[in-house]
Amino acid sequence: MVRIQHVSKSFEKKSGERKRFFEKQEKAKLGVLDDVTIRIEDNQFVCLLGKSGCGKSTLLNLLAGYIKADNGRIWVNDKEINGPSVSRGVVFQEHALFPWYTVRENIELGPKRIRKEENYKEITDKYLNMIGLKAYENYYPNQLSGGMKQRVGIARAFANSPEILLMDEPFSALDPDTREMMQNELLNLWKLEKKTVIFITHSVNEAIKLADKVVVLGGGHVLKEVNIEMERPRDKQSPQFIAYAKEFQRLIHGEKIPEEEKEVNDRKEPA
Amino acid sequence: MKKNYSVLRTVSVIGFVIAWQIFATINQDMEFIKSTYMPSPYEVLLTAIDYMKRGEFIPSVTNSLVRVLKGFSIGCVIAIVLGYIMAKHPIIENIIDPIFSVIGSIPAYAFMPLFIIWFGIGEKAKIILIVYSTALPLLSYIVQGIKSVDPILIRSAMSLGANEWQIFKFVIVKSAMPHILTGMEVTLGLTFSALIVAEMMGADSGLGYIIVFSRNWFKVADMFMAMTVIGILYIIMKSILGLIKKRVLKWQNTGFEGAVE
Ligand SMILES: Nc1ncnc2c1ncn2[C@@H]1O[C@H](COP(=O)(O)OP(=O)(O)OP(=O)(O)O)[C@@H](O)[C@H]1O
Ligand SMILES: [Mg+2]
Repeated sequence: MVRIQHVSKSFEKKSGERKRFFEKQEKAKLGVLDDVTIRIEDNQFVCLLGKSGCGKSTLLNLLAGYIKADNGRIWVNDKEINGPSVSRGVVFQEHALFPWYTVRENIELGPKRIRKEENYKEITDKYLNMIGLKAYENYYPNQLSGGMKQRVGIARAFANSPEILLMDEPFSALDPDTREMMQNELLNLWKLEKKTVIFITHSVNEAIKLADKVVVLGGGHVLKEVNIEMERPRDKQSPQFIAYAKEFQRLIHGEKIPEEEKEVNDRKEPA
Repeated sequence: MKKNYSVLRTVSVIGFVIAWQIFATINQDMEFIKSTYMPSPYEVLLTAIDYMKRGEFIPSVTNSLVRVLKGFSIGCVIAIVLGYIMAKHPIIENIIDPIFSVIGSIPAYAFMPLFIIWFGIGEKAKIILIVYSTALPLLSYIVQGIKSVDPILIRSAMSLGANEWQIFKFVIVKSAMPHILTGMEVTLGLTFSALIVAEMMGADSGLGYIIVFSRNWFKVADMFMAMTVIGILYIIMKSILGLIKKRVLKWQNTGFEGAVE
């Protein structure tokens, strides 16, 4: 279980103008997250949805343990987060592959060189095949396309078999077909290996397709948490799907929603 | 396509040797420089053969080579470790850096007489001078290289469970490698200068020693021979470094080749 409790985070914003040296440099604060509280159950698939710049990656960095919250606390299984950990695997928005390692070496790094597992070869092969890049195992990252790099980043995180997967827009650089395939692969894997997945996206459809629960972020707050009560696989054309999509669109694009309508949206739709 | 200039480069060196031979031959009659002080490449070669016959050539070269290899490798290791500590702890960097910039402004060779007094005329003083001349200039390359590591890659390794040593091995050294190797190439010249100075001041063997010893007896051909061998050793080591660089930085050069079918 992951509990994010009243978390706030701001960054120092250095004012562009240079002050004379005896004047204290004004350090304006840029509030990114403000009193965010989210509770995520074990093996739950949660999507964080929100506009660009709303603090999704910041929240993920907090969860990963790279940065510290100004206020509030984050607990994983009753242990407070204190720095990065193997149990929380990360797929980065910017791939973050090691450019000096080949595709295979990147995926292998965790199981082979860090955790020294004996069957690292099988693990690596399994995920190489999953991402469909077996033929590219000896390529260096800078010889790959953006989408290929993203897939390697995903395989690398999976090969380390973390309990919690933190994924920052992992499919954003993929074409629709590959994206669909990777989404299905991810769902299969998630069902098979039982992980908690925290998945960032700004695609409403992707969130509805994947998530048990969608958390909509905006203006540094949790705008809404919605459980997606639909059986998988979910049909994009179904009225339920479309209803969810409409609701999220409205939330994200910041139109004030009248109170009555909010209530309607809160009500569970018939299955 | 990259043009391959290696033929031109070889021809250039051969041309230089021929020009030297011609000049030395003309000089025999014209005496621009006293002819015994201006040996031709052929005479230098004969001198080298003479040294070989007397069994002095190989030991001299080996002594110098061992000193260079020892000093260079110890210097590199010290610079990498110290550079890592400095890049990681700004306080230590700001303590050490100003001191090094003051000491570093003194030519390393000025230290040799002092080192001889401190450490004696044995190998120790020489190796220390070579290590010092290698490590100090290399340090700034290393610090710069380590500081330019993309933090997201360190994060990435941390989340894969890497400990500090593993992060150092798998991320920091690899990422700083282009800087480190460039630094090594630049520093190698200084390493060789230090070798020669060390051998000229306090040695009884080696190529630098041949130079001072021959000067005392005006054996100019011997001096030329020692200088030529030093040059050749330097070029060999530099080429080896270049090959290593090409190998190690393979991932960097590959570029677009093969990305697009
Ligand atoms: N290290 C930092 N220093 C200063 N400001 C930062 C830093 N990291 C993020 N920010 C700011 O915090 C805000 C949120 O950034 P964040 O990366 O979390 O957005 P995001 O929701 O992931 O957006 P996107 O969908 O575009 O990836 C932005 O305004 C950004 O400028
Ligand atoms: Mg982001």
